[in-house]
Amino acid sequence: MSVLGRPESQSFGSFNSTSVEPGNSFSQQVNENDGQANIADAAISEDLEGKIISVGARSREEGNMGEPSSQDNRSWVWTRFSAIAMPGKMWTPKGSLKPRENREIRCTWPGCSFSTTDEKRRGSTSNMLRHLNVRHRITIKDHSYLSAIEVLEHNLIKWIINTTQPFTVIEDSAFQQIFIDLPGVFLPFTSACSVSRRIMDKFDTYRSQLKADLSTTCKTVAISLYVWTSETELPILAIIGHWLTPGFDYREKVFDFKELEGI
Amino acid sequence: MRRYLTLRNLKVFDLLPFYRYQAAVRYLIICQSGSHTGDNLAEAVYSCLSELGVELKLHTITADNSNNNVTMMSVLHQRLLEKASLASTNNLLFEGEPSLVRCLAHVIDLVFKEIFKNLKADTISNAEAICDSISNGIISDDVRSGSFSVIQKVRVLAIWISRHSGRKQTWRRICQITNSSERYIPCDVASRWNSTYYMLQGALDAQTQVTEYIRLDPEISFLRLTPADYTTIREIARFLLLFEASTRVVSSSRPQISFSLGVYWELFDLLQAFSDREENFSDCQENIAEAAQAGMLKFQRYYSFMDESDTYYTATILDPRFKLKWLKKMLGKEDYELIVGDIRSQLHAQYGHLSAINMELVTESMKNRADSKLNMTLSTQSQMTQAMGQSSQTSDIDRYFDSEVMGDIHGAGTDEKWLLNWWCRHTAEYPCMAAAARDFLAIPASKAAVEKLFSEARDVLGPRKQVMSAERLRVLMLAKNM
Repeated sequence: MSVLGRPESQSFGSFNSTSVEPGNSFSQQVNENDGQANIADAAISEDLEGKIISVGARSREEGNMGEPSSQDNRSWVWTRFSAIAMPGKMWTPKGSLKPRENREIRCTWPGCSFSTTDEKRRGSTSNMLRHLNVRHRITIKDHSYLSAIEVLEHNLIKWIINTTQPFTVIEDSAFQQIFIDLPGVFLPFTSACSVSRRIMDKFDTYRSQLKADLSTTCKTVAISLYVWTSETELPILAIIGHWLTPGFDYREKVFDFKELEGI
Repeated sequence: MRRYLTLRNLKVFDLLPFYRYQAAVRYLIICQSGSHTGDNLAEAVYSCLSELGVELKLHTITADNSNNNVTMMSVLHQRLLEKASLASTNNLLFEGEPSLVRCLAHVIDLVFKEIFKNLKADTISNAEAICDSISNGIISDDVRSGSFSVIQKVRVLAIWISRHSGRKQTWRRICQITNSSERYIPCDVASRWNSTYYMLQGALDAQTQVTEYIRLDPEISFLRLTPADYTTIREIARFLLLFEASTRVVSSSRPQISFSLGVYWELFDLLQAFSDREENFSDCQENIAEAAQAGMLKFQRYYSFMDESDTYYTATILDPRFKLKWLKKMLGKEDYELIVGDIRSQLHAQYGHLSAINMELVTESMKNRADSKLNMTLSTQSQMTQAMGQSSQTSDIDRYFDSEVMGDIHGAGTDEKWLLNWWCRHTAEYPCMAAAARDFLAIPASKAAVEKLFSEARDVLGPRKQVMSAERLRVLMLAKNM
C-alpha cells in the first residue's frame, strides 16, 4: 500500500497496488516462454497458454536468466520473482535422477530482500506464495495478467502522474520517437486528451476499489484534515483516512483533496 | 475544563531514541484565510465520508486548534447523529468536540512562537525590511544602534548575504580562505519553529566567517556579534536543542498516538526545569527562563484542551508496556482515579459486548474439540468449564487493567509495528481491548501526513500549471497517492 512520504510510495505508488507490477513481469515472462528462445525477433509473442503476451524486445535480458526450466515456472508467482542461474551448483529433484542447475530466486518487489533457491524450495512455490501474501499482500485473487499494451499504458500513466508531467508530454516528437524506434512497440495513445480520459477512467476504478477496501477492512476510521490555500488561490481541503485492518495492518489513504465550496 | 492536572517533575522517557526520524518534515507556508467556516468544512467532510460509505465509522479527527475546526466538529456531530438515527444504529463513536485530536506538532509550534516572542525574536518580514533599508541607504538610528535581539541580528545577516550574488561570492571566498564549510546561514521560516534553531546553530558553526564577513562589509558593521552575543546564541541553541528531538517525533510520517502523552509531559517538564532554573539549567540566562515560563503558560492552555478528551489517555493505556504506569506516575491520586475510572467504564460500554460474543465462540470451539477427542475424561471437561466460567465473569477489560505491565521487551523500542503485532497476537486473549486498540491506535497524533500531501500538491501545480482546475488537481493528487 502506498504510504505518504515514504520512499516506497515514490517508486511504487501505483494505481492499484495489487495489480501486476509490469516492470517485473516482463523480465519474468521471458523465462516463462519455454522453448521460445528466439522471441527477440517476434514482435509480440504469446506463451503456450495464450494468456501472457510478452514484448519481444525484452528478451535481451535473457542473458542473465537461467535456462528456462521445466513445468514449475507456470505459476503466476513467477511474475513477481526473478531467477538467476547459479552455474556449477546442481541439485536433484525428488523422484528424479537427473541433476539440474540450481537457481537463486529473488523477490522483485522494490527493496525486498527475500530470496530462496530451487534446491531449498524443492520445486514448490508455496513459500514464495506465502511471502507475497504476507509481505506484499498479493494473492492470486487480485492478481491479473495484463496484456503488454495494457501494461505499457498503465506504466505511462503512472509515470506521467508520479513525475507530474504535463499531459502534452505524450505529443512531444522526441518522446514519440523513442517508441517509433523500438521494434514492435507502439504508443497506445498519442494525444493529451486521451491521457486525460484514461486517467479519469483509472480514477473511477480506483475510487470504487477504495470503497470496497473500506467496507471490508475498516471498522472505524480516524481522519486527519487541513485546509490550505494554494498559490493559485484554491482553498483546498485534504482528508486522509487512517485505520487498522482486523489483522492490525495500518492503512493510510487520501480520502479527498477538493476545493472547499461556499466561500 | 473538566479537570486540571497536577504535573510533577518527572522524566517520562528519554527522547533520544527518536533520533531515527532524521527526515525533516517539509512544512508549507500556510495561509489561513479565515473564510473556511466550520459549517462549510463540516459539509465537505460529511460529503466525502458518505461518498466512501464510512461516515458512521468515523472515530476521531486530527486537525489544528483553529476555531473553525471546533465548530466543524459540533456541526458534523449533529449531521452524523441524524444519519445514525436514520440508520437506527446507536454505536456512533464520534462525539463531536471531544473527538478532535489536536495536532501535536501544531501545539508545539504555537508554544515556540510564544517563546520566540518573549525572546524578542521579531519577524522575518521585519528582518527583510531592515535589509531593504540598508540597501536603500536609509538606516534608522534604532537599527544602527543595534537595538535588536541576537536572533534578529543573525536573521538579518542571513537574509542580507543570501539576497545578493556578490555577497554570496564574498562569503564563499572567506570560507575558502579560512578553510571552513561553505554553508550559508539558513534563514528561518515562519511555519516551522525549529528552522530558527537551525539558523542559530548555523551562525554558531560559522563564527569565523561571520566575523570576517562583517569586517569586510562596512554597510552592516552594526550587525557585529560580540562575545556576549555568542554566549546568548549558544544558550538559546542549547535550550532549543532539547525540544528539537520531540518536534521531529511528532512531525514524523506517522507519529504514534500512544507516545503523545509522553511527549506532552516531557515537554512540560523541560519547560518547567528551564523556567525554575533547576539543577542542570541553573546557569541559564534570565530571558530564557522567562521565555520558558511564557511558553509553559501557553502549553498549559493546550494541555487543558487535550485533557478534555480521553483519547490520549486511552491510547497510552493500550500500550501493554505502559498501561496505567505513566498515568499513575504523572497524575495526582484523585485525577488518576477519576480518569482511569472514566476510561474503564467507557471501554466497558463501547466494547464490553464483544466479550460475550467471543466467549461463545471460544466455548463452541472448545466443545467441538472435546467431542472429537473421545478419550477425554469427564473430569477434565468439568475442569475446563469451571475455568471458562471464571474467566467469563471478569471481562478482559478488567483483566487487562488489573494485570501487570510488561517488562522491558528487548528490541521493541519505539517500533510502531511492535505494538500492532502485540495486539494482533493477543486478540484472542483480550477481545474487547483488541477492538479498542484497533480503533485508537490508528489515530495519528499530528497532521504531518496532510502537510506532506500539500507539499506534493505544490509540485503538481508547478510553475507552469497555475491554471489547473481544482477538479483536475483532485484527480491527480488522489491518483498519485493510490
